[in-house]
Amino acid sequence: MSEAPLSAENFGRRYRRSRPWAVRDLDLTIQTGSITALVGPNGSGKSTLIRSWMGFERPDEGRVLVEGLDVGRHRKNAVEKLGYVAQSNALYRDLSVGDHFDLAATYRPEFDRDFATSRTDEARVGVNRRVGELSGGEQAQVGLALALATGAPILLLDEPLASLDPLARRDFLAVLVEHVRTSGRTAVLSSHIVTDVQQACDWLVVLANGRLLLHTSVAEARAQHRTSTTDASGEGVVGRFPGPDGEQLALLKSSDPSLPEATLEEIVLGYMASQRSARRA
Amino acid sequence: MLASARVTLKHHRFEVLATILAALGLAAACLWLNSQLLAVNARPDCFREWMDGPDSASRECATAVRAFSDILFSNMSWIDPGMAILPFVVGIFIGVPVVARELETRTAQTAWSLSPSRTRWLANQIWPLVLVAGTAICIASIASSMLHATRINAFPPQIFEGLGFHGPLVAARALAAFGLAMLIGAVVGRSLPAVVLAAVVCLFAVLFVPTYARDAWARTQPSQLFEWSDPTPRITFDDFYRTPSGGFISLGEALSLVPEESADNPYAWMLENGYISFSRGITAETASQWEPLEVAGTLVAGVLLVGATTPVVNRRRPTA
Repeated sequence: MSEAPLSAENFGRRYRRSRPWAVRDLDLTIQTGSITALVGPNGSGKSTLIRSWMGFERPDEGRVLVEGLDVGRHRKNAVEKLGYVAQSNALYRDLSVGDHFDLAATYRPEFDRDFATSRTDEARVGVNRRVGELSGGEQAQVGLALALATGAPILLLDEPLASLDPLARRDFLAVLVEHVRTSGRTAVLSSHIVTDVQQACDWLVVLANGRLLLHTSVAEARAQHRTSTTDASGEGVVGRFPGPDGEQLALLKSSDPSLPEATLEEIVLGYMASQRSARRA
Repeated sequence: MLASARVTLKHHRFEVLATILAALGLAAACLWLNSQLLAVNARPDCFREWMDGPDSASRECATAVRAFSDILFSNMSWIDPGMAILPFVVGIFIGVPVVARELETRTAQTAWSLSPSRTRWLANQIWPLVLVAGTAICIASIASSMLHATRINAFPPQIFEGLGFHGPLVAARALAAFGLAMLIGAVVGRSLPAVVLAAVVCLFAVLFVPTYARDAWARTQPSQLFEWSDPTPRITFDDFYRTPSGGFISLGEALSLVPEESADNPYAWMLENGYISFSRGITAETASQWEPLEVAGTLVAGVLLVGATTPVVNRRRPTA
C-alpha cells in the first residue's frame, strides 16, 4: 500500500506554554494527486501545519508525515520530497533569478534549470533580473518555478496569493494547476480567500482555531451543502453568516435539490461561523 | 558547489569586500612601515649601544635609532590597535549575517526548503566566506609578522606583549570570532543585537581569557629563581627575600624586620643587611612556547563554535 503524500496524526503545536494551541488534535490525510485547499481565517493553523510538514516547526503533540516519513525524525528525507512556496516574499532580494536557480541546483540534483528558465521566461521574468526589482506577482512566479523545477512530488504553498493582484493570482493558479495535473503531483495550497482557490482545488480542508472542521472533496462538499435564507433551524444547520447583501444565510448539511447549492465560499463561511458560535457558547 | 560559493559570496559581497579592504589596507600599511624602517638601515648593534645609554651611542647610531624610533612610534599607535581589532571586526562582520540575516529576511525558508540538509547548507555558506576572509586575514597577519620581526630586532618586546597583533594568532582569533558571531546570530536571529552581543563577548574574552590562561599555563612550567639584578628576560609570579642565613622570607616578613629608623627607605636597609630580593618565574624562552598553544587553543575554540552552530541551525525555526 502506498503511503499518503501528507498526513498528520494527533498533531498539536503550541508556540508558547502560556498561549493557546495553534493546532491541536489534528488527524488529516491528503489524497495523492490532489490539489487541496487549506482554508481558514488568520491564525487558524494553516501555516503552522504547512510549516510542520516542511520541518520548520516541531510538533508538541503527535506527528506529521511526508510519504509515511515522520518529519521530526527524518526531516532531510521528507524535505527532499517537498517543493515549497513561502507565505511572504522569502527570496533573496539582492540575488538574480538565475542565482536562485544555481542555489537550487546545488542542493537538489534533480533540479530542472531549463524548466525553471522556461517558466520564468513565460512569466516574462529574465533570469538576470534581480529579485528585488520584481513585482510581487513576478516574485511569486519565480518562487513557483523554483518549487516546480525541484521535481518534488509534493508541493506546499503557504498563502502564496496573499500579496498578489487578481490577475497575478489567476496566472499563478493557472501555472500551478497545469503542472500539478500533468505531472500527477500532490499540492496543498493555503489561503484565507476561498474564491482564489475554488477553481484550482479538488479537495478542501477547513481549519479554524487550530481545529479541523471539514475535510472533503470539493465535489462532495458542494453536493452535500445547501444554503437557505429562511429561518432554518435544526440539526442540518452548520452555521449562520451574513450574505453578500447583508441578509442572514444558513449553511445546511443537506442535498435537498429544492435548495440552492452552496458555493465553496459559503461552505467555508458556514463552518467558520459554526466554530465562532461554538466558542461564544 | 562552485556555483553555490559564487552565490554565497555575492550575497555577502558587502561584508566580504569590506573585510578584504580592511585586511589588505592594514597589510599594505604594515609593509609600507616595514619598508620605511628597513630604509633607515639601523644596525642591530646601534640599538644595543642606544640601550646601554643614548649618550654612549655613536652619532651615526644615535641618528639611525632616532629616525627608526620616530617612524615606528608615530605609526604603531594606529597599526597595533588596527591589527588587534581586525580579527574580531572581520569575524563578527562576516559571522553574524551567515544565519541571522537569513532568519531576519525570511530567506532561510527558501534556503532550507531547497536544501534538505541544513548542515550542508551551513557548510556551503561557511567555506567560501572563511576561504576569502581567511586569506585576507592571513595576508594581513603575514605582513604584520614581517613588521614585528623588524621591530623585535630593534626593541625586544616584553614577554607576551603584542601577542595577537601578528602571526597565526590573528587568523585564529578571526576564526573564533567568526564562530562566536555566527552562533550568536543563529541563536538571537537578529543581526544588530547579535553584533552587539558578539562584540561584548569578544571584548570580555580578549581582555580576560588570554591573561588568565597565560598566567595559569606559566605557573605549570618549570620555574626558577632570579636574583633581582639578573638581566634574563622573564615573567615572575612570586617575590621574596633571601636572608643572610640563606632562608627565604616574603616581602612582608622582610619589611617587618626593618627597624623604625630605616622605615623611610626599607629596601636600602635590606640591601645593606644582606637581604637579597629574589623572584620565581619562567624565562622568556620558556614563555615563548605559549604562543603556539594559544593559537591552537583559539583555533579549537573557533572550530567548536562553528560546530556548535550546526545543531542550532538544525533545530531552529526559519524566522527571527
